Amino acid sequence: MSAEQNLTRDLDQIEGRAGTMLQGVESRAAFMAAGFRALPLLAAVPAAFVVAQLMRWAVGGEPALLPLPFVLLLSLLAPGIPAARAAATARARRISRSRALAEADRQLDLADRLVTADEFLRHGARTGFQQAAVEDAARRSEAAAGAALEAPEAAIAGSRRLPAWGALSLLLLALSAWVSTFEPRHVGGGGLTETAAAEAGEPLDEEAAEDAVTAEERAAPAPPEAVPTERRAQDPAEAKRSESGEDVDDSVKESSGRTGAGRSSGALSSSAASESRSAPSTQGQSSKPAERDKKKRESKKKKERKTGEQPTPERRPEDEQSGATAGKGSSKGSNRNPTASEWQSKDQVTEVDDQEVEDDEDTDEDEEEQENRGGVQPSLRDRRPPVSRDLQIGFGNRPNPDANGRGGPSEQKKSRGVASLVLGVPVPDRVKGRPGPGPTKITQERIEPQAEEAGALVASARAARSRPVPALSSVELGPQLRELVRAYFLARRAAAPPAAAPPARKPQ
Amino acid sequence: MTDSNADAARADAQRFRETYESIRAEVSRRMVGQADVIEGVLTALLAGGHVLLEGVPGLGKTMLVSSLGEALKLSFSRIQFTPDMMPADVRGTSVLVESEGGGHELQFEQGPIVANLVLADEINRATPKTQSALLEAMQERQLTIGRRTIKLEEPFCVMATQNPVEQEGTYPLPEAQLDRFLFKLVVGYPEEGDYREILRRTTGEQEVELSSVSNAETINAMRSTVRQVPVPEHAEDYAIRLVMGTQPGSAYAPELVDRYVSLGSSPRGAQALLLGAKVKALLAGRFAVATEDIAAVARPVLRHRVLLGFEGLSEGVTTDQVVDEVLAKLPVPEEAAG
Repeated sequence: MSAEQNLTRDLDQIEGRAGTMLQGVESRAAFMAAGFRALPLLAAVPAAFVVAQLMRWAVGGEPALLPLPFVLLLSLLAPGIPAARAAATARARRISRSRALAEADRQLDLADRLVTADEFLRHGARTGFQQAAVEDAARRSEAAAGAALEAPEAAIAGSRRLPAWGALSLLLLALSAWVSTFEPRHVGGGGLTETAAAEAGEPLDEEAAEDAVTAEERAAPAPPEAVPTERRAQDPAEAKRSESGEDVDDSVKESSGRTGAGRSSGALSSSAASESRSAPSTQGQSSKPAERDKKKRESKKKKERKTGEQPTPERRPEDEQSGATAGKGSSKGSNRNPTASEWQSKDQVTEVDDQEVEDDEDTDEDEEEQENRGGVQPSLRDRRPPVSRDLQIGFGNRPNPDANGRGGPSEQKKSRGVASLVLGVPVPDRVKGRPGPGPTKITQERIEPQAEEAGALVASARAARSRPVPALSSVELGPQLRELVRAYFLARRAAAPPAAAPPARKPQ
Repeated sequence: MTDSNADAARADAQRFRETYESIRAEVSRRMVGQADVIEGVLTALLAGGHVLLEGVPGLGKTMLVSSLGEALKLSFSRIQFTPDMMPADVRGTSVLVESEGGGHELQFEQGPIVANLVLADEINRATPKTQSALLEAMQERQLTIGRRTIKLEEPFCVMATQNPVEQEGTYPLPEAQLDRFLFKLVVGYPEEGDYREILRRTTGEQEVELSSVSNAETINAMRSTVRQVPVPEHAEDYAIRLVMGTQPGSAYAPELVDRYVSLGSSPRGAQALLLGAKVKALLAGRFAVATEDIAAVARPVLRHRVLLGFEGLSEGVTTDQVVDEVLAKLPVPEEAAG
């Protein structure tokens, strides 16, 4: 077997070993990289589980959905699945021969000898240096084929995030465990607020009713039959509810709605303070037309229909009942439209200004109109004259009555200061010195010309030339042109005045 | 391919290493320390390129080149560049001389650039007009003056020096001029242990006399050997990607290049990389270029071919940092191919 065949065999063997090793490295690197990329799933699974638990608990179910170890297992599996898939893909990818040999070159410190020899072996005709390179590689390939190759460490980004995501996952698992300890919630027709109100509502209603009665008796003498009528109207309803097994929340709500429409708005409210606030309205407002309440009720119903809230069958008769008592209520002083809404009841007990009540009605109508127009328009309830932002003092001698000098909604400025710019640099009133003469000054003086003696040069004979005279460039004039030039200069000499001495400059 | 060719190649490579080592040893008799600079100058000379030596005064740049001239027995000329120097002072000009018959005639007087080794001392002190007088000689290895063209004798190598500190009154070399230097070598201060030897050699009575260990013919043969070294494909790819990595906006440019570099290396940089790598491969006892040979000459080849932008200059980024970053971020072709 020749040296080249041995080299080829060794290269094949090295390629196989290095390729397998690199495949394993790449598979591990892909697994880790994909796993680190999918780290958020480590926390996403417990987070979703906690949300599901809370939702189930909110609807009254048992919050413990799954055993905690099972959730932990799911959390670990979630990032593991994409990581395993990436690893399998990397494992299936083939490592090129040149890369495998290059890795062997690098690990065995062969300075690309194996890759180069592999390339030169494919050449048909090799130069001397190429052949020498092949033989050089052949001498080392046998040792290289037997040398062990180590799997290089792959640097994987994102490993630093592992503790953070792990901690978050554990935190969510702990939260899940805590949520699992929640008692199943008893849920009826109303919400949380209504449940809370139901727990504390019954005794408060009775006390409030008593207080309201006394307050009304103090404030304005009511018809003696009003309270018994009310109680009579209320008692059958309560009896009916108790019979039908309805929740207490509804009774509170219904009673509130009724009281809102009735003659004593605070009679059955749960707040004593609001009751006391509602008393003056009884005095101040004598009555309101029943048509207005009716219109308002209709608008409320429309809104409910629009928002998709279907009134419960239990509420509808109560609303009607409230509406029936609206007339009575208005005669007692409250012009509010009784509704079964919790927010409306709140308004009823906290706001006493009748003007604002009217505004509320107007606003409701406005909102309805705005919705019909397709958008919410700016509220023009508080139409006030715009604040003058005029900073001027006035026009001429006349003061400007609208200007407050502040440029905004505030009080009249107390001090206006100095209305002109004051220099911060003191400027002297008098400047010492005199005006400069200017950049240039031209003075013309008439000076008589003075004759000067010109030093005459002594003529001397020139030395003989040491070299022949080179050809001088001169303009050769023709006979006619030469005559013309001579005539020109003679004419100029004849026409010129006798030559005068040049004017001498006066010494400066 | 017969084994005789391989034997001849091995013999050439062996001769190359021996000659190289003898030249280096002879120059090192006078030049203390600066092994990297000596190696760089010799590598550029044997690769057929020119060298730009940069360093503060007093580090022996001029002495290195003159020592090389002595050791190689080459014609050596030194041109001290000054601001009032004209191109004719470098290339030569026609002068009027008296003929035998008493007449006059124009006769061409060649400039100092016509030599084997040309030391262009403080090249950045001459005006760009004079600096550009070297362009044709460095690239084409010939001079054209009027209608006369002079072929320069091989080996021809220009070794220019410049001082990076005194920039007042200097003219930085234009890019076209810089690109013609194969290597730019930075001459640093000697090591502490070298100072004693420097003082002993330069302040004593005896001067170090260098003997010529080589000649022009040998140098030309060594250059021929260098040209025969084959370059495998993966090494070519590496050199190409390395050059492209210095060009902002290219696929191989790291972020540092995109941000701070305004002009990258030209293809002439890739040629220089391979020529320098061939010398390195021969010196390492190999018969083909490896990627590590290319990486070894990347700094001197690319540092003067990378032009930093304003942001890079203001941030204090050096071209050596840029080259190092490209080397660090550039994958070896086999790894990139996967």
